[in-house]
Amino acid sequence: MALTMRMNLYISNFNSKSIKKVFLLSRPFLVCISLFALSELAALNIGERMIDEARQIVRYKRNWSRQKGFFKNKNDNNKFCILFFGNSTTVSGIIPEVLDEYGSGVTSTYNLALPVLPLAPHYFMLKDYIQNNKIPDYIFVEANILTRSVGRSFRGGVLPNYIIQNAGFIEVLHYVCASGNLHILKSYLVPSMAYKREIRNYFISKALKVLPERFSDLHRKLYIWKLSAKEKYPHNWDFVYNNRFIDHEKRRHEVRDIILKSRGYYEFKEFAIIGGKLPDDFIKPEEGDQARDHKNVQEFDPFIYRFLDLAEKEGIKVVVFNKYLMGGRLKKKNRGYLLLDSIRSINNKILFLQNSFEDCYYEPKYFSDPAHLNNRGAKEYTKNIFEGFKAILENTDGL
Amino acid sequence: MLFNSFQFAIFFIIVYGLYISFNHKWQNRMLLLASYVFYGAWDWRFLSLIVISTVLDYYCGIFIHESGSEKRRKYFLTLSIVGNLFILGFFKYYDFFAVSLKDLFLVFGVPIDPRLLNIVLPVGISFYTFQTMSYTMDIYRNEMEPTKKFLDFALFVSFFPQLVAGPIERAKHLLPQVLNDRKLSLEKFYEGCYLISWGLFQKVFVADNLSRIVDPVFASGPPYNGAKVLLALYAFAFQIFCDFAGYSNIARGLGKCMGFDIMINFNLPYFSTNPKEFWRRWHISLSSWLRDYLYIPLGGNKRGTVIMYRNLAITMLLGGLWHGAAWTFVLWGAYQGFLLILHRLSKPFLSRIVVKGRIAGRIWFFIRVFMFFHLVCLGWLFFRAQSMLQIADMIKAVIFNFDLHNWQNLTLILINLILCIWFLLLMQLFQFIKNDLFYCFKLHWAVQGMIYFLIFYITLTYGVNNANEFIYFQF
Repeated sequence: MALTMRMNLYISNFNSKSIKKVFLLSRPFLVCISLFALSELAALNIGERMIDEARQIVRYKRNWSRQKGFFKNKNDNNKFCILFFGNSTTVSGIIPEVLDEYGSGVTSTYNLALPVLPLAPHYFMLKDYIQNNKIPDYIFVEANILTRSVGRSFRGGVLPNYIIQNAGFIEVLHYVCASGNLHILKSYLVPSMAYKREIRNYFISKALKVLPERFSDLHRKLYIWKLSAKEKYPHNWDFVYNNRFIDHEKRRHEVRDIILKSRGYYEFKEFAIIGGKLPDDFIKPEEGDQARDHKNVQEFDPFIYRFLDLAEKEGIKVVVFNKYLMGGRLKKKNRGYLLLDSIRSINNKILFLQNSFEDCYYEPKYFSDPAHLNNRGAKEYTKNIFEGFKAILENTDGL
Repeated sequence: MLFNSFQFAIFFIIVYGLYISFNHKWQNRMLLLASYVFYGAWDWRFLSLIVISTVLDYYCGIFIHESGSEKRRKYFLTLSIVGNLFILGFFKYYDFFAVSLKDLFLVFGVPIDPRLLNIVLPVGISFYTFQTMSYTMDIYRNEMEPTKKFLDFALFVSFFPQLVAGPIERAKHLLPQVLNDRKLSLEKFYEGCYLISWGLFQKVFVADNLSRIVDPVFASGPPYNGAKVLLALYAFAFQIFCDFAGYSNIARGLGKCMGFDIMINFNLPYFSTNPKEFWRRWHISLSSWLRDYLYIPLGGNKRGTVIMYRNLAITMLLGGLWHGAAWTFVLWGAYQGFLLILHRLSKPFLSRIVVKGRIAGRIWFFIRVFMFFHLVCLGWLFFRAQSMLQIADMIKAVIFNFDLHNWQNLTLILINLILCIWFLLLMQLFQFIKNDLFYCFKLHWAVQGMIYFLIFYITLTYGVNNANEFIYFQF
């Protein structure tokens, strides 16, 4: 405005004629701004309709954390407490109730995995848990989150469209300052950027309804070709396509039900805003022990030493397990498998869930999308995890 | 500091804020300082080259003008040209010629080991050296008088919007704008904003997204799939156009906001039907520079047909070499020269083709545009390829290995290509039909608003976020 007024002074003396001229010249820009505002409202709306599973989970956790009523400690002091940490594969793969059932009621399990997040928030969550609850007996950590996913650890923790879920402006600013990633702020201010994929899927699914069948067939073929080429697994992939473009609403409700009914979660505090600043033990990317060569896939997250030291100090046993994959995926892609020896070299007290490293491949029928298990698959996987755990117990002191 | 970066946005807001607060004299001083900061952000050491070039041409200009004898005038002109070409040759071409010489001697069985300098190429060196040379040459031709104001001349040489990738401004066009008071107006400001947005759209959305199609194909090794190579070439044709035209538009837009009128560098080049027209529409500032300061002094078309062809060939060869120190660029220049000569030779035959009727005429026009576009694309293969071997392999693939078996992959590439260029083509088609690059401003205000919205929205949402360098920075 100040600039426009200043410009106006250059045109002529400030009078009604020049104001009119400024207005007339500015009309297209006003239209542009109005359309932009409308588009962002629409983007928010579409983002809600087409929300993906991981975003749903992060959002639920934040909401619950704000309502302060989320964590119901089902743990009583006589039971053995087991915590699970990991990514979205652990979120969808471990069902605490199923594990407790196999544990004949002597275990009390919590799935604290956070989709898309690196080790840092898990570390702060563990610290918070220890301060406020009975110290857990075992923590299960998915091998993948111990590694530094290139780029991810440098972003202050999360990918932009997850970080902004239900976050306040100040909170987002803290993330931006901590990570130096301006994209987070842009995504926060411009929902179209954050929900790009959702908007694309929304319009595609709308278009598929009105376009002739041959176009939707072509789209289905191309999508499934792209998917199967990546997965290298001969299978009918229609279910993935349907989940994404046809039955999206149904899938969304399923996920919500899983979150609400079948998983136990812990209050998710935003580590970036504790006391209005980053906690003292937050490691900036450039300060991490492993910050140098981030091209190496076997490199670890900068938080790994703090995470393991904290567990050791509190006398918690750490069990590392490997994430599952779809049967046809190349084994070399499973980074956890490659990490076994490296993890051992860091801390020789860590236990390994041997069967998860040897056989963690499942049929496509157990998956809801190429990377995540459905409820049926999760039951199988949890059972396998328990079997592996049992083997560990037999070789150690037991529960 | 890239135009498509957040740092530049902050930089320009500060500069512009100061600019509109100062009077003319302080505007120029502040712009000079800002230009040096802008350039120094890349590598402050190379600022010395700009300063040397500025001092050399400032004094040469004055001495040429004040010298009574033709001999002294020529002496100072030569000093200016040799000085600038020495800077350019040393920093840009020394290693290239040294390696080429080594290879040549090796062919004759004489191994030599010239010392390589491995110097990082100073950004924009080809642009500002050509710009300052035009100043002394115009003074020598008595087309303009030198300025005595050193700081203003320094601003003309280093004016930040067009310093690193052009347009290569002429002294007689830009210098008077530096010396005289500039008028700011809201119309100009909005035009500038439009040009900046359009330039960012071209760079951030079109060029950077297309590079995701182009780069993997050229980075891969043989055997190539001909169909994929062809799609990558189409993509590269638009990538390089949008990368460079995008920069020029942003430069023009920044200039317009500050009351400067920077020359048009691209005028719908892919609507050309022949090479002559293409070079009147593509990189206009360079092609007109080469025409005025190389082709015409060599004799132009006034000294017979053979000399004219020779002049065309030399001009385009050097034009190719100007783009980069590699034989692929020389080949590209030679190819462009060949096209120009071929066009001249075939003109009598082509002029005999008369197509009657409005619709038939339009169809014939688009056939010619389509055919010439493919000739340009072949040139872009020489320009983009990493080696002569890759050029040969890719041409072979297009002719003998045009494999459509993997149709799904090709369809996805084609869809991505279309998604990247549809809006650009639509806008350009309207600009071409109306013969007006600013046609957008003549539309109803509501339609204008919608177009601005589309440009802004697509750039912001679907543009590539990490600021990629402009291709022409390496030249």
